[in-house]
Amino acid sequence: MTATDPGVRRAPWWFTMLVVVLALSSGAPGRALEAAQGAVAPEESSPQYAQARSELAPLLPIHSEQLSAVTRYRLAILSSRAATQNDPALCAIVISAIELTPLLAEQLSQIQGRLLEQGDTQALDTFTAKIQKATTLLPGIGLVVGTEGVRSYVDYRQLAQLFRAGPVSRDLLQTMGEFSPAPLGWPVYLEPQTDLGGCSRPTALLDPVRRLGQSWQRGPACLKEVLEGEIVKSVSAATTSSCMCSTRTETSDGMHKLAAVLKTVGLAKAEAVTNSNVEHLPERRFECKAGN
Amino acid sequence: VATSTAVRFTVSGATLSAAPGDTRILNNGSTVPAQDIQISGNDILLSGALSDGLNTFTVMSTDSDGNALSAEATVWAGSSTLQITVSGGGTSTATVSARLGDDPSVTQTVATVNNQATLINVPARTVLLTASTPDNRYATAAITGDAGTVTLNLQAFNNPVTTINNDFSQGVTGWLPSDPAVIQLVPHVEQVGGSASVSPGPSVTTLKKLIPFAAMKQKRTLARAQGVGRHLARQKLMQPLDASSDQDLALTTSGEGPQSVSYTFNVDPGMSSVTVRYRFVTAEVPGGYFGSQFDDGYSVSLRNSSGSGNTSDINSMNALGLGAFDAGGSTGWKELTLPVNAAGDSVEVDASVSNVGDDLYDSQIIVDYVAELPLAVSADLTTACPNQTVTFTAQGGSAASATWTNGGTPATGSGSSFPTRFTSKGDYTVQASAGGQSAAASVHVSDTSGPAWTSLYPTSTSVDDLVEPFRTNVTNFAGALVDADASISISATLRPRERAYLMHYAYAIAKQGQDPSAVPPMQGVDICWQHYDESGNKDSGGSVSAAAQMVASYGIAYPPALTSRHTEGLAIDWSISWSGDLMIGDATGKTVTITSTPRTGAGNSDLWDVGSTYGVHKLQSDPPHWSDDGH
Repeated sequence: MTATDPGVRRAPWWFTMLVVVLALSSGAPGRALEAAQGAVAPEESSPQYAQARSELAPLLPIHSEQLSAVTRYRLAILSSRAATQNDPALCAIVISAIELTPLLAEQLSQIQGRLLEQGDTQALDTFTAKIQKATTLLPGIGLVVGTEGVRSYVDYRQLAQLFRAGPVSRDLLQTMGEFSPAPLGWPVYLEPQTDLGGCSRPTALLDPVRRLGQSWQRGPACLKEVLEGEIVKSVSAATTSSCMCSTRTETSDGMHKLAAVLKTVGLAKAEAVTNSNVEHLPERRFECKAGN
Repeated sequence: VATSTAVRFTVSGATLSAAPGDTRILNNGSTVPAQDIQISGNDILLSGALSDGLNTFTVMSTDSDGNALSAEATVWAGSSTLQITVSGGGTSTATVSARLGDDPSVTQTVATVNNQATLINVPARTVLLTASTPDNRYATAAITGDAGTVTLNLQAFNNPVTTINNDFSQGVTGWLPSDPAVIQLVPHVEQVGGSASVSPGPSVTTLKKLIPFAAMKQKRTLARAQGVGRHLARQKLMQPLDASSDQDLALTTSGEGPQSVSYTFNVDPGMSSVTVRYRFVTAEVPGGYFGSQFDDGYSVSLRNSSGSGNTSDINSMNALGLGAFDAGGSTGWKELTLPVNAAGDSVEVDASVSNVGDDLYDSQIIVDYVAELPLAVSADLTTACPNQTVTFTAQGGSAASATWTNGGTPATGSGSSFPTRFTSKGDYTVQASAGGQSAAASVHVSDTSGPAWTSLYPTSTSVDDLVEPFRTNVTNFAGALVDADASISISATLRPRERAYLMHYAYAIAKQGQDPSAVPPMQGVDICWQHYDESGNKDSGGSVSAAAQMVASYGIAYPPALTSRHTEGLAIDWSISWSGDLMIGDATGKTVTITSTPRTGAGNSDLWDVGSTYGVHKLQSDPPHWSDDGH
């Protein structure tokens, strides 16, 4: 796959699944949007900006300020593809994606919640279709229209495919994509039992972390700094869940293994979190079935 | 003080200039003659400088270094002697109190000797007099200070009326006037009074506007010749009375001096207090005589027979201040309340109104009603959270002396207001006792949020709780799966709306910054999202922590909706798996063989097609979720 032939076009299930990939920022974008802008500096007065905004406006039921942020993000992505790639630019886009996804998911979930309360199935279908169409314009952030809300995740694999960064960075991003794999974006450690959650299986993180180790040490510092925080979040969520899929012994053993692998890779913070959470295992439910 | 009294100003912290020309003094804006000013060391002595009534001195001088010195002082002076005779009290010693109508802070109290009392150095302004005896006899009058003599007729406690007429629904029955012509019924007017809802007493500014007496006397004499000056009485006669309307009692002056009315009645047992509602109206205000010595006054009092209880409002136009009156010369409605014996009591209402200075420009007291009130208790919250402060308030005449019991922290208290906190869920009734009466109010304390809530309102895992026709559709599809040797495990069908509410807001508080105190309540869900610490302060950290524990206990990773197919009974979350090929019958009776993978309901689109024939549709984005329409 090449940079001019992104994966989003090659995978036909993107168009049939209710999986949404787009990017957005909130009205107060903060570090993320600044980073994206710093990478590509899109001009809001440019004809390209106007065209991008006019394409997105009919698709996203968000207010004007946020639509502007979405438009800037799209221009940032497009500009980055055309520009000479470098690690800082890539890091800036990744930071944007990490920070913007939950904000967009929260706003869209509120909109979906209102549609659900109104019981307007047709409006719900239209809402879903518009966002689905928007995914073809805004790759980078995963948004999934679920039954009760919009879930979000960073689609690292798409980012890896969109940028002509060095192979190490690309490998890191590809592997990061295994933590919450597309197209559904469920965390790999979370076994779905209901539409809102399920039980946690921390050992599901072993393989992604091992694969991460193959390129972690050689990765650019800015990217490692950003990704390590995300890895810690993922490991923390997996090991602090009150609902564990396995027995206590299996869970404990698995967490020890995970800690060892994290140590081998050099992810000291995540290792410390794992070891700490092993000590609190008695507070968990084992062989748990999430009661939603 | 007497008008002959010398006035002395003393300078402190500096040395007064001895040069006579350095000191200048004004009294009511006029320069005090130099011969009346004597400088002695740091003292400035004024001789013969006081005039009858208000004296506002402005002193301007310098010290020995040439620095400016200034001071202001107000002195009421009088040259009159009031000889007061108190009658109707037998040989009892009466206490006589005098209050200056222009300035309520100027008072004098004397005891009678042989039914006589003397007040000296009284200014020729309105003086409000009261006399009372230990056996609760009572008299009031508003006169000018230069009246010379006045007789106060102590009122004994009248016999209670046989027909209760607290609201004048029985006309004027039971209300005993000093002269039958001075009381009449008038239509009730609620919106009355000036901008000052409470009488502030005269301000300095007001007093500086005192009208010169001689000019005023001349003007009023002319008015008398022209036949004006009875505005209020004339107005009342012209107003038609609607028998069905709310009627008030108007007590109107008639000539110079006081007129009065009394009403005595038995209070029902169980009552805590008696309140009379009234207003004062004077034609002097629209006549332009506010601030003058034609300072009409009134008194309203309540006495009870069971003890020495009495309360009164004695006031005059000038004392109330111009701001208390509207353009028609009426004050706002006033209330006077007297605690009574809850076992039963008798109360007498006495009202009087005086035309002061001459017989022109009438004044009135208008009585709206007399009310008998039980002790009442209310709380500022009907539902509270643990440790949240709830303030209970007692109302009624003896509320100020209420004692409180059955509180939380603190458990007891006193006074009309009682803040307390309860630490745990429950219904609490707090009691107030006052004047031999008691009353209570209740508050419900809800339970704090936390993981214990997650075991309530459980989500069903039974297909039977789904609604038709989806229930039958799922039953048929599930039957086909079982017949095909597929394994099914149901995680959720119907989610009670209460559970959806709890899940939704727990997630919002824990993960999305929702203000716990702003969560709307839900009928039947007795939860406090906002936590409070032991001091009654909001505990934001505790609120978020409790919500986070609920999220963890629910095992939810994504924000729940308040309304969803699950709350409608139109969705099922289940895991479906099989091994090998799955031979399953669809709803049309055709057997479908599924050889594709994954062999799970979450990922196999061929099984989704089979489900659709049953009316059970897969939501592709949520692995375990199927519903009636794919949402």
